[in-house]
Amino acid sequence: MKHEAELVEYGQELLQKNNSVKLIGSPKNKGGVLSFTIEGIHPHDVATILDEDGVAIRAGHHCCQILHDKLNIPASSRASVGIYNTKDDLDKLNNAINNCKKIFDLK
Amino acid sequence: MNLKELYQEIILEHGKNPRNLGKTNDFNKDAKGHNPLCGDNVHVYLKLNGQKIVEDISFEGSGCAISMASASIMTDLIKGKNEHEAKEIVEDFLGMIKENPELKSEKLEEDEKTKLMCLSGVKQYPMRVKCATLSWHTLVSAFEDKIDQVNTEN
Repeated sequence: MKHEAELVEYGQELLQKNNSVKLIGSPKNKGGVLSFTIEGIHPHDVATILDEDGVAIRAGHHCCQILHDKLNIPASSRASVGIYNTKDDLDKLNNAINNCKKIFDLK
Repeated sequence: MNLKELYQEIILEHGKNPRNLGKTNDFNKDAKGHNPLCGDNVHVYLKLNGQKIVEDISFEGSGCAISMASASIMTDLIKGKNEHEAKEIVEDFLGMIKENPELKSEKLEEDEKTKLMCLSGVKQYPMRVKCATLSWHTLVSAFEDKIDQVNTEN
């Protein structure tokens, strides 16, 4: 749990500094997930392109369409961490997101 | 073509400048399509004349780059075709995107086939095939005046 919490905190800091990436949700007790949207890129496209870079995330509604309606977003991307992940994996996630932004010509 | 090349071509061509985006004036057929798994939405509008030729076609929608680019390419190719030709092209495209190595329809010119084959890379990613085919199924639904919205999960 501590390992996951540290990773999520590290991941949040990385993604918060990333322009165009918007993190969803900031509860006090956060589980091992980082949900986000990237302005101008649909989560389905994010997931497919990240997959090419060896980063596996989920994209879609994550079984909560109603929440997505409330947040007024068509879908979201979600990276999750577990005991087998490291900060290196989160660096790879951030780099892969940057590659994705380049393909879509975002800064 | 690998996926990154596919995205380069699609984004440059159709993502930034989707063809025929909007609502056709005086449309006489239309249909909506939806992918409930990811939220892709498309609304296809047709204006058929008395000879059942597609005088005008357009789409509105929101969704992933592949679904929007596919809709854009589709409207470009279908404009000016008659209903029978359009349906044959749809069958050809659906066959190609699922399994056939190339497009066979004689109703497509060579440059039109080249444009459409840009999407052939999608078949390496089975999860994305539904994104590419949504607007095409919706087009058929519009021709056939179906009332129910096209749903990729039906």
